Amino acid sequence: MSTEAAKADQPLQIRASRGGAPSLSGPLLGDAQPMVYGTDVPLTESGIEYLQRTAGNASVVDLLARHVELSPLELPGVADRDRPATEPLGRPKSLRLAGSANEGVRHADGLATPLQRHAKGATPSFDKGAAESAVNSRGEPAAAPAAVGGGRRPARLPNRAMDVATAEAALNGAYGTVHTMTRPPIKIVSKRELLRAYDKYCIDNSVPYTNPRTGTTRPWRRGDADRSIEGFALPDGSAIYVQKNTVLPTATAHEMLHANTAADFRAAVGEAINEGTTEHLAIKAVAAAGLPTVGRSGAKAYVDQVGAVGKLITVVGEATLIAAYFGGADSLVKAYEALMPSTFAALKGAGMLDTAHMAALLVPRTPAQKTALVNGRLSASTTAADIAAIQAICASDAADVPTIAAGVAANLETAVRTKVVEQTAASLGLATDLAGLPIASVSALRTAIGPDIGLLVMAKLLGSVDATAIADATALAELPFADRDGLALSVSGAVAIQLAMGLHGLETVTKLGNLPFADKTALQTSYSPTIVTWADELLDGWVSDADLDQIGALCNLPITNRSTFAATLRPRASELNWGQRMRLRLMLDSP
Amino acid sequence: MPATDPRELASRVYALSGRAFELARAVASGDPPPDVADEARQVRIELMDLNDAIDALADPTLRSARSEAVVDLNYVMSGGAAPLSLRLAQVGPRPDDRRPEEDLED
Repeated sequence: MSTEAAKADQPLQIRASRGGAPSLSGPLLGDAQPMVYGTDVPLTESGIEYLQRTAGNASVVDLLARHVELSPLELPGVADRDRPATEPLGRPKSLRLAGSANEGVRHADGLATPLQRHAKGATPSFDKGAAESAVNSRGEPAAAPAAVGGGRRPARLPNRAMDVATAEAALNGAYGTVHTMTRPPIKIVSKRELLRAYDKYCIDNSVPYTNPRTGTTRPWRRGDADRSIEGFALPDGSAIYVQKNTVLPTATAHEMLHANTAADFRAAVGEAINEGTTEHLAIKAVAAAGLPTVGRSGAKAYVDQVGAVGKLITVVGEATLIAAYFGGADSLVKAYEALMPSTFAALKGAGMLDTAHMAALLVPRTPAQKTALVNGRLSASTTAADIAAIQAICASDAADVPTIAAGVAANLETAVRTKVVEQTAASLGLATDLAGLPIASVSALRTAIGPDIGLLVMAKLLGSVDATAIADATALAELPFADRDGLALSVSGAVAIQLAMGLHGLETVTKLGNLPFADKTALQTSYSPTIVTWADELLDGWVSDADLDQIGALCNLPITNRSTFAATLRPRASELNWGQRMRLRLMLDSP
Repeated sequence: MPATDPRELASRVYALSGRAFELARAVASGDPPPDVADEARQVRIELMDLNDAIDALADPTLRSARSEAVVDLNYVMSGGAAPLSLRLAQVGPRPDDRRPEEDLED
């Protein structure tokens, strides 16, 4: 046995301090004392548990952590049914704990949030005053803090359900970006209150009671509710009753998750996966909030189901599971079927837990297998469903994405190029979606396919460029992997061709120069001198009003450098008659 | 015959609980099989016979499964008049439609 373990097994004792007030000491506190307060029975760690059951975790943990002095405060005992069989007889039915021990968990402790207060051991019952903190008004134990003795051992746990506000805060903290929890009308009550509420509903609503063994039926009577009932919901949805004295700290979060899951999730995935997912998410949220997730004596809920869901997560990834839990089961089903050879229906089976069956169908795919699966979906006929499946495969494990990306790059490029060349709105949409996959490199696609896009754009901009051609070219240019420089060169080439047509191409040149992917500065540098020369030549000899119209059109081209144009033509105004001179000056001076 | 092996016990309890849920869902759907009450009684008896073993195992999941089953079976045997199990309530009204209430801890 290790020193630590041996130390932990040594008796923990309570002794009298000066003035008669007892104090607690022992191995866990680093100060072993031989005396025991109140009785001559030494307390071991199981004794601490007994204290927790009788006085409440909050009080005992606070006591351990702070070495507080004890003073008389009568506390009620615990029901015998809660006492382990190994507990020695003759334990005191009541212990005296200090008011000072309770002060550490009173509401005036400055803890603002439900999580802080829960972690500290506070519950709404503490609002009523420090005297009720160790036990509540019904003599039931209070909640425990998250850590004991400065983290020297795991937290001792509340023998009760987490309050609704704490669970809600923990769940929103964990999943708030995916889903904002709605608070179901959960009533966390004692076993007695729970059974009483069940009986009351049945009596008030004339529910018949049937004796299972005899089959005889009679009106429901008080006491008919079976003691094994730990929770139920009223049919009108007005209340969900959950037993307070549950040994499962995640119970409230678990039930709140059930109330917030997608409507189709339970039916789609079956009981085992539904419960396992719910408990997995509850554990994750509660743990993230720094609160205990394991009940006394290591009690956990749905262990096998959680284990199966853990395997499911290794197959599809946790993000996919969470998205399906809150958003709809379809994405989970499709992700599973994209990755695995079997159907989700086969995995679900009868819906009940069959660990061997599920384990056989939940062997995660290797990166090489995932690469092959993705390659199988990358072709000229890749569909939106294929892309969704690839997305799901990538989401199964982010660590596999680089390997998959390297293994599918060639096929991805081919698939994207095919979609681009098709040049339909749908195909370009698919190309965009393909480029958005985690396995895609936009820069690599730009290098590989950018020049192709440039050629396609230029082809659209030749001849008489109509609105359709402009729209098609713009759609190509807006692909995320289009090369802006290449596109600008395409426009420049088209402008050169249009200008070669002389003045007939000016209307098209205007359209080209105004394209969002045109480089106006470069176009002006390349073509403005030619345009200025044309305009200057139009002023040679006899000048008609039509010549001035053409000069105006050249001046207003988006690829014309206006300042050079004006500087060149303004001196020639003196060659014109008064009316033409005024018109030319207005052209040159207009903004 | 009471199950003694924990895994066998768990398997039986889950199976009975699952059957109870199916029966309850059938009643809730308004189209239960004609012998649904008799089958519910039989499941309830089988579950009662496992009570001691379940209590001895102290597995909270099994207890939860039993609790859900008992509520489901009461629901079935009462002809759909008794309260719902928490799992059956999930396929009923959504919480959005319910009036928020404070819990009774205070």
